[in-house]
Amino acid sequence: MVEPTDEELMLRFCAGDTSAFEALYTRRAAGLHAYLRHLVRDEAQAEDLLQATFLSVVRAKDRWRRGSKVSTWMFSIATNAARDVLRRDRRWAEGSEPRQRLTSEDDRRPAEGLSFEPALRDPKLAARLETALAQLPLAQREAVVLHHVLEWSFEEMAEVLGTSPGNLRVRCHRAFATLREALGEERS
Amino acid sequence: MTTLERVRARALEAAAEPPARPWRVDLFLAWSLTIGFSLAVGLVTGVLGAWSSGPLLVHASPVLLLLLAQLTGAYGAIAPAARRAQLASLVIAGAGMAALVSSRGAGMESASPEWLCSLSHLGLVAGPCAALLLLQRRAHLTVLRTLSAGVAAGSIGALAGELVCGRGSLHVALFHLPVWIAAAAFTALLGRVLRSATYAP
Repeated sequence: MVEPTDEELMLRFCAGDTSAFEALYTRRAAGLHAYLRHLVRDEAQAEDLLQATFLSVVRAKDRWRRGSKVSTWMFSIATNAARDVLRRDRRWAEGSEPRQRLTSEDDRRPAEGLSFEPALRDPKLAARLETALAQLPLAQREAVVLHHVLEWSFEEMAEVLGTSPGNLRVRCHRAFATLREALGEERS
Repeated sequence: MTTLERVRARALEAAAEPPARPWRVDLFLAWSLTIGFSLAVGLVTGVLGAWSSGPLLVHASPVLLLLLAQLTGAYGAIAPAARRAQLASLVIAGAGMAALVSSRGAGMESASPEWLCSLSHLGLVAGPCAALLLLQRRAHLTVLRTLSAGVAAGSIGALAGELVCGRGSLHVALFHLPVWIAAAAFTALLGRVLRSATYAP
């Protein structure tokens, strides 16, 4: 039997079929969770953001435009949520309680999503890479995670991040130069 | 219970709730608010005989640009993925401002203090600004989106000024336009502080 596409599931959900939403959740939640964990580097915050993402999908389902990809729409929502939280975090950073940051152990945890580990086949290097990734500016981190971890095309990423594919190529290039430098320094 | 199971349970609960008001209804409300308010202001000031000499004929181009700024601004504020409309509203507002100043000559003298125009402008746009901000909270509030709302709401005051105030172009540039710009900027600033109800684009 042919699996329904995300768009077919979304149309069914918009028509009131909750089981279609459940199927969409099963299909997309792990990837979104991994993306958010990479962006915010905070387990509790990633969970809150995943919840905010799916609550937004439910409450603003009429804002999804027919013909556009559901996955890019969902990742746009997740990106907006993460950017908003990180912006507020920066603003209220002083005097706030320290959060439960991801540890290197969390980095090595078998992914409820995705990581660099399968590609690198070296858990230690993967963990170091993830730590270096966390030091990147958010805009570069978003681009690296979408392109190199989730393997999205620059065109798809442009829709999610609201910029041009050319700009994203530059962001990825700069991010990789920084990562290469960070890993090279560690090795030496 | 894992993270994914916890979130799934909450999301399914929300999915079973009655659907939220469609964005098209919000857009209709936003258009009714901006265009309706402008028409009401025009009508009331017209009935009271407060129009400066034949404004609709003399000042047709700024009035049309202001109404267009309201239409595109409200659309950009409410509609999903409306970046083009948001940018267009800013361009149209800029053209409207230029038309407001250039269509005036030296103008007429008036006994009332000039700042009274700014104050009236501010009084007229405060309510619509707040209402548009509330209407757009079901979308992710970006600077462009809230700026669009500010442009749409601020143009109501500019339109009232165009109809009622007979002073010259320098007065318009110094006592009307800055209020419009400030209203748009303040709406955008409030949007940064407000939490949106969803993060949908």
